[in-house]
Amino acid sequence: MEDDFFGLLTTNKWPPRWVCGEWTSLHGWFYILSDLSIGLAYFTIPFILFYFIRKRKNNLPFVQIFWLFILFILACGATHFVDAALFWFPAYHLSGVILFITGIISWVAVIGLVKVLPEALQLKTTDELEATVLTRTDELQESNKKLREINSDLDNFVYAASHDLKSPINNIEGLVAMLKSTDKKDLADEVFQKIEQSVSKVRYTIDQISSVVKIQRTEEQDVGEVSFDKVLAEVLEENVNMVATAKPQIIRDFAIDSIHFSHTTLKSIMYNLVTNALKYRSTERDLEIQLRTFSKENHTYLSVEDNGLGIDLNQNKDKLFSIFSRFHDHVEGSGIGLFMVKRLVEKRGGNISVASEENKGTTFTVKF
Amino acid sequence: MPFNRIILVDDDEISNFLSISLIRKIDPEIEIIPFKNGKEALDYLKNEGLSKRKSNLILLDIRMPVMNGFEFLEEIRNTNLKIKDSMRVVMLSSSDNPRDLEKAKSFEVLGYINKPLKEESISTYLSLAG
Repeated sequence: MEDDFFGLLTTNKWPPRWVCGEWTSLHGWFYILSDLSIGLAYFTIPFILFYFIRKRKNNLPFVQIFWLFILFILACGATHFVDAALFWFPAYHLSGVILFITGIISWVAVIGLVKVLPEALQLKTTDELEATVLTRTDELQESNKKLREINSDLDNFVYAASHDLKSPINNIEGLVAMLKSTDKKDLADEVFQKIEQSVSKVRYTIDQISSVVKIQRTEEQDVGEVSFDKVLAEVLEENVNMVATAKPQIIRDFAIDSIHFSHTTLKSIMYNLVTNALKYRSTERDLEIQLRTFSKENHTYLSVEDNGLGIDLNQNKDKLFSIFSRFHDHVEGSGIGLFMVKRLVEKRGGNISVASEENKGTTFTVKF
Repeated sequence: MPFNRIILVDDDEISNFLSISLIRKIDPEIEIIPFKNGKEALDYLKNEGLSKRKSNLILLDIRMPVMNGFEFLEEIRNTNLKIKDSMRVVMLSSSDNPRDLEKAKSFEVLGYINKPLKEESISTYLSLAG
C-alpha cells in the first residue's frame, strides 16, 4: 500500500477526514449520507438513460450525447463516493485523479452539447410536428382532389371519344350490311354516300381528339405581352365567312389592352368564345358581341358577352364545360370548345365562369 | 296486342336511316316517328291528345344534345302524365360502357341494344305485347 504504482491508494500522508478538524457525529454523517445519496442517484440515472436508448433504438437524435452524458454522470457519482470514503480512507491522490477525469469528461460533454446545439434547436416540438403534418395532409388532399378531377376528366374524355368514334363505325357496319343485301342501284348509291359521310365523321372526331391532346401538351413557348385587340382581329380574320354570315356588331372595350400570356392559348380561348357567340346567335335580333377586359383584385379579366340563344344553366351548368357536351343541334359543333377553354384557363391558374339566360344571351368571363 | 308505334329518339341521322329501313323490312306497316333528341320526343308525347294515345315502343339513344336519353327517362319518371303507362323503352346506343348499362337498368327499361341495330335484336321486341 505504501508505494503503489501511481501512489493512488496512498492514505498515510493525511489523516482520515473524521479526525481532521472537529466533526460531530451529526455533522459528519450528514455530510457522508448526502454524498452517498448524490452518488447513488448519479449511478442510477445512467441505467435509466441506457434503458431509454435501448428502447428507442435507431429512433433517437444525438445518441452520442446521451452516451457522453452517461459517462459524465457516472464520473460525477464516483467523485461523491470517493468524497464520502475520505472520512475513513484519506486517498486524496485517488480523489484528485477522479476529479480530474470527471473534469475532462465534463468539458467533453460541454463541447459536445455546444456542437449539437444548433441542430437541437431545429428539432420540432410535437405541436410543431403536428402542425406540419396537418399542412402536408391538406396539401396532399388538395393534390389528391386535383388528381381525381383530372382522372374523371380523362374518364369522361375516353368515354366520350370512344362513343363518338364508335357511332360512325357502327353506322358503317350497318350500312355495309345493307349494301350486301340490296340490289337496288338507287339505294346503293344513297348508302355509299352515307358511308362516305360516316368516314368523314370518324376523321373529324379523330382530328378533334388530337387537337385536345395537342393543347394539353402546349408548353409556354410563346409567352409574351399579347394584345387582346390584335388576337381578336386574328380570330375574326380566320372566321371571315362566319362573320360575314352573322354580321355581328362587335363592341371592344379593352381597358387592359394586353396581358403577359401565351399567344396561342389566348387565341384559342378567344377563338372558342367568339365563334360560339357567332354560331349560337338568335335569328330574332341582330347579333351583338361585347368584349371587355378589366382588372379586379390584381387579376385581369376578359368577358365575352352576346345576345344570342343563351343556355338554360339550371339544367346544364355541370355539363357546359364537359367534353363533347352539346346544347344546340341546329349547327355543327364538336362539344370540345368550352372544355378546351376551361382546361387552358385552369392550367394557367385562372378560371372561367358563365352567366346566361335563355333567349337573352350569354356572358363568359375568364379570370387570368 | 303488339306495339302499334315506334318512337325513335336519336340525333344520328344515319343510324336512324338504318333503324327505320330495318324495322320496315320486318313490319312495313308500323308507324315510326323519329326525333332528334329527348326534348323533342317528350314535347310531342306531352302534347299528344289522350284519345290518340297508342302503345309505343321507344327506341332511345343515350348521347344526344339538348336532352339525352337518361334525362328523357328522368323527365318521364317525374311526369304525372299518363304517358308512361303507354310506353316501353328499349335503349339503342353505341355505348357498351357498364355505367350506361347500370343506369339504364335503374330506369327499368325493357332492353338495351348495342348499335348497329340488327334484325334479330329488334324483332323480339316488335313481337312483344305493348
